[in-house]
Amino acid sequence: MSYLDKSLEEIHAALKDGKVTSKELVEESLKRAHDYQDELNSFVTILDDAKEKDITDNVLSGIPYAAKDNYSTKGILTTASSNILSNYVPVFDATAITKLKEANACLIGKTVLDELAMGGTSTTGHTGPVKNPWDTSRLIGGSSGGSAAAVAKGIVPYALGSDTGDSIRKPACYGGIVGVKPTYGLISRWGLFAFASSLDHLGCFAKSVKDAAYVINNMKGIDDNDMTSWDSSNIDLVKDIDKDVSGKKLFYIKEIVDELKNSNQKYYYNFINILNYCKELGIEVKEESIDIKLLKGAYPTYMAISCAEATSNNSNLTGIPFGNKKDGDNPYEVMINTRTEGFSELIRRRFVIGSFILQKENQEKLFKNAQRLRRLIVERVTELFKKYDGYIVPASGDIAPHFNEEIDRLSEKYLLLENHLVIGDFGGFPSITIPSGEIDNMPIAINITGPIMEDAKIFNIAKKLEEKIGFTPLSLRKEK
Amino acid sequence: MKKITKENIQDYALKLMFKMKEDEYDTFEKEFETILKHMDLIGQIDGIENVEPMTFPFKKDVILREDVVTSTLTTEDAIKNAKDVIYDEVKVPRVVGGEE
Repeated sequence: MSYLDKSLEEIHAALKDGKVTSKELVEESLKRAHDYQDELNSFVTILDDAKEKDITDNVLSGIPYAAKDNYSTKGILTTASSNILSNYVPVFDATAITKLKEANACLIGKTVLDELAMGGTSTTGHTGPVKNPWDTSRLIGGSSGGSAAAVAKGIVPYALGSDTGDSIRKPACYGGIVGVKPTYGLISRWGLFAFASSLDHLGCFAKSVKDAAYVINNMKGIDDNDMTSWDSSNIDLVKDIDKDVSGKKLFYIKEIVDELKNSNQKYYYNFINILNYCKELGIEVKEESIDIKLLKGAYPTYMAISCAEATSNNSNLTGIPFGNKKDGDNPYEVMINTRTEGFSELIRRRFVIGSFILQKENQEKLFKNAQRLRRLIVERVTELFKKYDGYIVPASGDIAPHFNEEIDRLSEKYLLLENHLVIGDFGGFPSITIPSGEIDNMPIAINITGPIMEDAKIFNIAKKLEEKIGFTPLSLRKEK
Repeated sequence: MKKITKENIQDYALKLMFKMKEDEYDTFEKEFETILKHMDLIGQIDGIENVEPMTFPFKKDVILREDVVTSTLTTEDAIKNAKDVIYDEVKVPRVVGGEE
């Protein structure tokens, strides 16, 4: 097995012992990125001039990684997978990127996303759709699909993503890898292209829970440039990751699991099996109910809030100070032409929906009611967290769909099973997806979500469950 | 709730400084039917109008940084990504006045 495929701790030890060099790892990572680009289309930009870094005591030093192309990277093309930014080269680094630079991590590429991170399929980026390494006739999910595919294929040991609805945790499920978004504000949002500011989270993909813990440990921290970030210096996600979890309490959401039982028996029995693992670990698991009206309203609430916030956040894309400018006879024409040509039809539709929701006559019934429903959901879950350390749910309702598969967006399956992860973003809760098994040679997953600022506890539970499950990621199954 | 029309769509689009194209309205109208049904789900909670809207994930004291004067962007960097630049400034078509 190549050192690039090992855990971050093992790679670090090998680098320290001189068994492998940072240069060799970077070169191998770049080679894999090129080798699999035609097959997967994970990258917008592969950084062929990426350099090795000195090895320090930091576990990430000298090891390659990739970042979603909505992380601002100084001097490196950053497109958000949109034509409107197809020529944009930032003049500053996102705080998370700066922190990884300080850790001597080696950025080898920028990954494809759904245009402006608005989507859940990774099929709408301006450089084409991302394919699922498990089965290239299927999608990987989105919006952080390029990062998910790159980790699932073993191109990089970890990659950065962003999560506004479920954009890390759903593709992690479809790719058979770990995907985590920590508590809102644990990682500074400075330099992440804003989609819906009250819901946007940064996070990462990795092959294991412990690898993800090392990455988030290095990305987190209070930042003067993001007033919603907070001091987490007392949080160490690695330190207690192996602690005994007996006595911990989890609940599962009855309405979601009932729907899974109705619609996908194999997935359901896998989930029940995971609950048995919890019990074997000494974790007490109970069923709890959340009003089905609240749960069915979660996705519409997400759409209303995110589309409305996105219309405002993306109003800076005019083509004039930066971006792919189109000509016009006056500044208004320049902006209208730039935005009409620069945004895809799907993005313009979402913006129109946002505009509709924000019209004076609709604001109260649509936008404010969505914000109210968000509160009701968050308050119910927070109330349950008083009795529990977190909740455990299936991460999706099915395996990754085929590219042409249609799903009824008004069905209970869609509203309850395919979109419940958004609750984690509503409340800013730390939330992690880990693989739980396979159906028809495709991965499925569970998600564990906990109270705000209890990130370490969620990592601890996920790590112990991961050991019980014993899932082998795709990239470790074949000889390269 | 008001039904969406082609005129509404173009009006909302123009408020956001872009246009919808002629062949895009059909898809949009179909999608909008689903969106409106989704939005109906939001209003189905009894007494929802009495709940305070939530604009932030959780309660948190906001600590503002010290108000120290600092420079974050040089002129060179500020114009680096602009397509049209003249005399270190971003060039746009004339906004006021007569013919050029």
